Amino acid sequence: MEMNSKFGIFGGQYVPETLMQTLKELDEALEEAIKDKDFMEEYNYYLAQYVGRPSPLYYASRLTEYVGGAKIYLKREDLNHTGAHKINNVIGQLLLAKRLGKTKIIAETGAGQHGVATATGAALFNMECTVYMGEEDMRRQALNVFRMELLGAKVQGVSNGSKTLKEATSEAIRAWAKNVEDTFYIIGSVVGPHPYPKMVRCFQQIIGEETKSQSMEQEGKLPDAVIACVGGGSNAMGIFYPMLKDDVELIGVEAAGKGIDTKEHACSLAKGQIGVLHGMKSYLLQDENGNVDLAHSISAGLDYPGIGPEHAYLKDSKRVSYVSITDDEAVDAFMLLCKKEGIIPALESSHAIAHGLKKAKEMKKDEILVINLSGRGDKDVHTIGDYLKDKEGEKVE
Amino acid sequence: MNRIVNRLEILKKENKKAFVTYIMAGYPDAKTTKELVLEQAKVGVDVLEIGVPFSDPVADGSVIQVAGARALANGMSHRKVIEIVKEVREECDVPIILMLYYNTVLHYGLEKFVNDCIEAGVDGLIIPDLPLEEQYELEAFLKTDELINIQLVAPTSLKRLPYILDQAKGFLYCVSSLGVTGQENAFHNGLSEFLTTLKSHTELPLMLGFGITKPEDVKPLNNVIDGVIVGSAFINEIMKNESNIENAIHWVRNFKDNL
Repeated sequence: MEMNSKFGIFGGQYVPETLMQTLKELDEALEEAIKDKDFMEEYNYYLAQYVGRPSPLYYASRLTEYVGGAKIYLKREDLNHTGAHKINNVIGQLLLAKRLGKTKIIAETGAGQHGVATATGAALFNMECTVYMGEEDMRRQALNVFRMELLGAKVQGVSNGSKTLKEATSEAIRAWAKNVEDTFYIIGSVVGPHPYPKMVRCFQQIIGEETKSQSMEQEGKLPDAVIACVGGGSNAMGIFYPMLKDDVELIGVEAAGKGIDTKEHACSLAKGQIGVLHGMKSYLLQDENGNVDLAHSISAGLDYPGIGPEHAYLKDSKRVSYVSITDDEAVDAFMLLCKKEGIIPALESSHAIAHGLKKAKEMKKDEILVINLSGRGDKDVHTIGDYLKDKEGEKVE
Repeated sequence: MNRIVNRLEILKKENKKAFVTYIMAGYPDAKTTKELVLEQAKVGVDVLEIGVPFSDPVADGSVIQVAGARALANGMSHRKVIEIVKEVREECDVPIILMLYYNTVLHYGLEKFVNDCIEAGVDGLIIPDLPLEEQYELEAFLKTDELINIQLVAPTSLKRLPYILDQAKGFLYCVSSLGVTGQENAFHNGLSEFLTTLKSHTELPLMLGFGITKPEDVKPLNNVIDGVIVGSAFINEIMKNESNIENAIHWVRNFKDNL
């Protein structure tokens, strides 16, 4: 049987037998679709006319001046329709779902950006849509829950375990197995069983392709370094993939939560062991009995104990370096970008910005650093408000 | 000969259906788990599945999820389950299968896990998130038939049957419905046809599982299956009788007698 489902030892298809035939059909349909000129034309049409691509590569001059190192550019995925890179992938998978004759869509979501993108696409293509979301995330991301409902999607709360993305994903897999004959599962990151990691990367690599040509146009050369946050890792895979063979330093930023040496972080690459969850073999946070540990991050989108298998492969092969940023550092970077550039970034992206500030300082003034601004932060303003209140409380005590 | 294979051959000769049950190790607690195993063996359950609790059981419905979460909270682990089997083996020879998720096996270490299972007297493994394509790592250590890896087949598996049958040993775990364990009255529309097709392709016993609550559920399928697997319904009985498992054992005996 076919063995091309892995990145080195990572990836694979660790799912119940019920789903295997569907994965095989999906894999074949994907291979056909991406070679089909009409399919790619339709995909590119929606990216341009509906999503609003290409997204700008913006020179952040005030931030650059403030830091005093490399020239900092922001890849503005926050300007996409629905406010994040997630929509790129959703449009691709929805077109594939249509091609396969599926009429119902399910998805999982953490921060809600993938859920909103899926609900948006489902409305656009007139498909019935259910989004699984942990109840804790529903609380943290109430605005996105409301947006999904306005778009006609059903948001199905998940009350198991941590009530976050891990449980929402497990529940979506269960629902998918039950309804596999008429339902397409749109996974929101480069995770899950083959072909999902490859498929999601395929629909996100537009970010890196645009970045390369925009950098050539604006600076006459490729960036010297590129930074992106990683939870599951789709925005990072999207911007990294087209540059893997180029002389560009690539850096992924994990969420260190309350600190990488505490138990409350989401650093599956730095602190995880090889394991199997949600259909894939990758690095995974787990306890002494092989049960999956809970992740922690102030950003719901990074609050996941696993990571895309291609990132695990890129880490081990040392092509990409992975670092981590704490909640506190991410919030500081969030504030700084608001004030210096008039851009409210997603808390996820704020992790990339926080590391970008450190990195830019070490670089020369004629070097170029691109930070992938994967989404906008409207959804996070309440979280920031609560965080600031807590900090104020700590001072008073 | 492997205890599972042996037991199923005897049943076949006697023209009887096999009755396979599932309990969750550590639910309601470790001591009761051992009692449940021994008492079931006494009342004639043919093969026992013991679930190893896992934090993210994607193939299980709410009943087994709840039992698993309680077992984890009680401190049950893969190592302790193997200890329980070891203790049980001193008293009885009932065929035992561990049902667990692949991360649990990987975490233990594949070779050590296989060796420890054989040493403890485990006869089979069911790993619901390890489809055929991913079994090669584990198979490398399953050199004898002392410990066999049971293959699952679902109504969506028809095109994959030749490969699955090629690898199958002991029996085929036939999944009655798409989805997860414990969905009552949800047999797949094409189940009977699927089982008939299976029967024409293999001599292996066909065990039907997922969503079976009473002997009557499988009466219409009696001519195509060789036995049933009952999990969530039994765990429901245990939940109703946590402090007095005699009632649950009585329920099991009744099920077996009416099969």
